[in-house]
Amino acid sequence: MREVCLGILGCLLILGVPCLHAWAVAEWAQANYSVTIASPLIKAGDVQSGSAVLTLNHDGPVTIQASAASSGSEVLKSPTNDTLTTSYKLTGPALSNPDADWVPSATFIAPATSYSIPGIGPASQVTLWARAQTAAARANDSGSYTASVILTASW
Amino acid sequence: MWENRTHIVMAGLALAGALAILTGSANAGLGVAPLKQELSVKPGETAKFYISIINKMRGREDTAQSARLEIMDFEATEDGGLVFKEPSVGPASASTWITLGKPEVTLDPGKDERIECTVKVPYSAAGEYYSAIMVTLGQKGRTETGVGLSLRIASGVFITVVGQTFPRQAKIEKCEFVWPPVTSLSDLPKEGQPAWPEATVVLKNVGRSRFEGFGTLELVDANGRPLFRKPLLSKRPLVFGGDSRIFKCALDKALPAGEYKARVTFDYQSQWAKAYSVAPLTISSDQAAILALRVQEAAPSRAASAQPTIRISPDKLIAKVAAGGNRSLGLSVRNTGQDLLRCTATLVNEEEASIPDGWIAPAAKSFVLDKLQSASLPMAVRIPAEATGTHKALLVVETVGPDGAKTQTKVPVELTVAELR
Repeated sequence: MREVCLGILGCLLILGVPCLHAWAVAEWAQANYSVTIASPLIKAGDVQSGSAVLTLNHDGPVTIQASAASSGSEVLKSPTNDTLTTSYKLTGPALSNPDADWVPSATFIAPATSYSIPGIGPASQVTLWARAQTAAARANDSGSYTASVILTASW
Repeated sequence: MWENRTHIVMAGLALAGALAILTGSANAGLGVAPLKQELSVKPGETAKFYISIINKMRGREDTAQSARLEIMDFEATEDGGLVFKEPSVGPASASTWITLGKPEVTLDPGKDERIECTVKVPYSAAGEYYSAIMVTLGQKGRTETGVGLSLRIASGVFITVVGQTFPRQAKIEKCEFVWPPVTSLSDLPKEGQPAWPEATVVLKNVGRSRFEGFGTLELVDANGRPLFRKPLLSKRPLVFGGDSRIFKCALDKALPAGEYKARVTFDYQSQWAKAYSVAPLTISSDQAAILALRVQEAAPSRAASAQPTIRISPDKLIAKVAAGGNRSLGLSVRNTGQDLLRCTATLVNEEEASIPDGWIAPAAKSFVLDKLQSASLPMAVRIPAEATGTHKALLVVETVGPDGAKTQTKVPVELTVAELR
């Protein structure tokens, strides 16, 4: 049985402010995440993927959205600026709208896609998947490809 | 006066400890509370509010965690996503009014910090304004090959400028039915969840005050018989002034072919009116056959599903509180069924010896319980110094199941005020 708390009364403060309501809490359980795609891509059209499990502690409905750290940073790029076809998906039983299939990187980035966790936690695990695919008709530059994504939890 | 004070329910170390046990996590992280807050401020006045950053203790190897705070504008998209933007002077933006106590915070394990923020409302302001405090965790994910992640938590600040009030106004802009792309019965999926036809309704807030929309779709046949009724759900039922929001529901019941009226009703928290629309719907014999087949396919999983039921304990809340004192009360609410339930908790006063407004504040007025999930519902109780006597009310917990069926459970609440000595 899962037992959770709605708006934890850790402490109750009485402040001299005309405020009405202040509810809910959210916490990323780790401060350091990455999705490593460990297996090398060797030939044209190769596909590899990786995933990371993220834990979000919360006591009310939460929305998760991905955004690019900088313009185009959601796409896997080499030091020479060559790119791989990049797609993502977010899955997990807590999500009301988990991805059933890979989502192109441009669509994955907010506001195109947002993910809703309607429950009240207390600990919802979601899995972020990333997939890289080499170009079908040419050889990509050799080297390490990286991307950068921001995940935002909001009310 | 009690009404003029803030009571902030803040997640503190109790949360940290409880969640650490539940998650069993040995990793670092930061929490933010509250996730949203509402303030009422008079034009020309300056008010303080707070945001707490929490670095819960998880283990001996925990390290200090840092975060950056900034004010951001936001807009909601039609499907309920949020777009965060640099602060501006947009018509509903409060960003330029808000000052953060500090832009960065570093916390040792087990520590939390309450950061004071100030909002100065211009004399000319009227209505509702919004901003977000974006808390960006200092550590970044790094990988040699793959995707590095940064994590943020956005805390909403909703400001109502006291004085001029604007009525809530809503209009149903669109109601359409989308059928899965099936051209013949042989195309039906044999495994997995069936893809149901879906009703999509767009509700527009045509006023200046935000509201939460609660919608229902009803299909009525040519003889006026209602054959289908279901709540319409959105990823974000809160609709800001001028915004539109998509609400959906799956048509997951076998219905005979024929002409129907699709009645959509939205409660948008107005005491005067509801939004209402009627649209014709024709279900062809092919579509009726598809529905029947999909209902048949889904039957095994539905057989395991029980009627939505709820169990609340204790069945009565009785407390003695000193005049001028405060304490917390709590209820445990359990969904014993197999369907997700939308719940609302409302304090309803009895005719005599009622509990005055503001004495009891449930931590959440609405919440969602997944199948077999339990929740504790804490309530902050604060009694004014001049109060006396015994006061009674009913806490009404209403649940709405996926088929729109409502249940109500009433929990008597009795507060006896002990005089100060």
